[in-house]
Amino acid sequence: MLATDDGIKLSLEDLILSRSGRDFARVPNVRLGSGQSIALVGASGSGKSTALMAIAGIRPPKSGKVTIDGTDPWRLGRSARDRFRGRRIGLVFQSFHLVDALSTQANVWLAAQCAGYPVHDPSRLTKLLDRLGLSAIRHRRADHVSHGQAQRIAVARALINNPAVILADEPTSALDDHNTETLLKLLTESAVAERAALLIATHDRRVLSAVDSVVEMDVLP
Amino acid sequence: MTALTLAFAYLKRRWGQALLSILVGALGVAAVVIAFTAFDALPDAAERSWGGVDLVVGPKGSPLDLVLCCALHVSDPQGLVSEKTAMAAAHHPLVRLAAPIALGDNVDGWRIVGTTPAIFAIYHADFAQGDAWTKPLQAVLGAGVARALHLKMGDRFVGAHGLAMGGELHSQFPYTVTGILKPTGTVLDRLALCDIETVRYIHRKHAEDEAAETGVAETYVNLPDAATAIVASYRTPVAALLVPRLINANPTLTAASPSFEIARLMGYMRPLSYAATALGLLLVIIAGAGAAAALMATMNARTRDLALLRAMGAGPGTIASVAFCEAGIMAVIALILGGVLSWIALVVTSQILLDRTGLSIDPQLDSDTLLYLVAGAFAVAIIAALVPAIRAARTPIEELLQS
Repeated sequence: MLATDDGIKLSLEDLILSRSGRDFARVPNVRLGSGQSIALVGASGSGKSTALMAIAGIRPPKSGKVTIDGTDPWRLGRSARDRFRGRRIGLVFQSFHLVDALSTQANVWLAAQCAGYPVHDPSRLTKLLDRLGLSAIRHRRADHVSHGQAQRIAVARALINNPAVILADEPTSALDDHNTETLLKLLTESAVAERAALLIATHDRRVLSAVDSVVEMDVLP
Repeated sequence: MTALTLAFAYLKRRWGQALLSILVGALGVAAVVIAFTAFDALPDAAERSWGGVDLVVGPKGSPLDLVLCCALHVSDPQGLVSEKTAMAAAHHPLVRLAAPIALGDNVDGWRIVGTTPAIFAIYHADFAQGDAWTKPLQAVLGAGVARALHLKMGDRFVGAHGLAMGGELHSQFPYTVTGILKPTGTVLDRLALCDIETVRYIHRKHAEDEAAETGVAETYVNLPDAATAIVASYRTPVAALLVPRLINANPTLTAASPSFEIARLMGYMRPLSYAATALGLLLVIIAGAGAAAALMATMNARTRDLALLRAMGAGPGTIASVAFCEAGIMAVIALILGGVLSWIALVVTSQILLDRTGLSIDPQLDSDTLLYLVAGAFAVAIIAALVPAIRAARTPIEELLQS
């Protein structure tokens, strides 16, 4: 969980979350360096998703500090925060959320476009698709790919902008053991390869052995 | 770029629904284009058709009928006048030339017109081959008639009674072609011309035969210098103010100005043009409303996608522009399709009009109308996309992480 200050990709300090004006959860302090991974665990309703929103600059925490690659997203203006999230944070969702109308490569490249990278970098895209075994289906529409391929597309999309932090929200909750193992391997290896910190919010105990460390949400009375 | 890519992908995905909106919009655009262009093109076509004729003098009756029958040659005669009386009435220092015309026969549906050689000067017609008639039963053909009937110099043809095909043939009176005119772009191209005395002689013989059978004498028997009308051209436009008034004072004659009568006719037709334009605009609005409803429904179905874009860093403006791009793409396709549809309709209509009336319309859409049309189509697209775009821009990202 600890890393030297130079290589810190994600730092969470005294993060308190509130709901309907009431403090309801505290996120343990975290310091993650390049390639390090952590699981944020807790029961359903413990505030894991709210914590991810606070880290990703989507919903502000009640108090505390989030630092991603040296920047506190909550000190940025709204559009700068959107842009920062697009460029420095890779998001992997529970049900992957691919855009069905687009092809595999368009789904991946969409993340770059949304982050405001106007110049197409085909070599980056090609390398990523190659590494994740997606080259053969790069032109296939997202609603015509298998579940395993959809997982890899979602990971590729999270990695395309070379993020400092990868945030994954319950990525294994609907998967069997084999697919869980495959996805976790993919996420942790990608974090190492891309020199990003990986935080997985989960209540799935199968995740714990795949990450470097585990912290548990602290539900306030 | 993001918005355009997505808009194309989404449209491709729901192409059936989008096509319906595009088709309705295209029909509206086509209706507006046709209404605007046809209304401007018809008077121009008529003016080209009547050529140098400034005045038509005929029997007392409707001046519009007189113009349609004797200047544009699209309707039937309303009666006869004495050539001597009508020519005397048209004899005025401000009148440059006048020629009598006598209608009554046709060759395969093309009108045979008895007249005098002065008519060539009125229409500024030149001979491609041959010359004017010098004897009875000689004919000069307009360029269109010669081409359509494959008639050459020296060929013979037989006229039929009446102005439409299928009349009784005057087989005993065959015409010989002595001249063929160069194309003039006027109604003359569609006429077969001969000496007026030839028409009178044939009809007098026909009327005498009829009278012998029925005991009723026709006008041609009682009016030796019968003519359908006089066509004339002025020396100066000022004549239009004076000459028709003088002629109309004669209780047996009507003087009609083609330009005035056609302007009056188009005035009557103006409400029709307005109705066609209104129908077109209504279709464009219906297309806009349809597109708005479809966009609204699809935006609701795409909440997850839009939240994803927000999560990946796209600002509300980018999200809103997806809806605007979709509506814009549909507007562009509807404009192009509407343009093609209107072009096809105008080509077909102008061919039918040319075949049936000889009026050759040359539809042109002026740049102002085109500008208004494009601006209007995009305005409808923007209005249609406005509410869906605002809703899309407000898509909460939280839904994505909580779904």
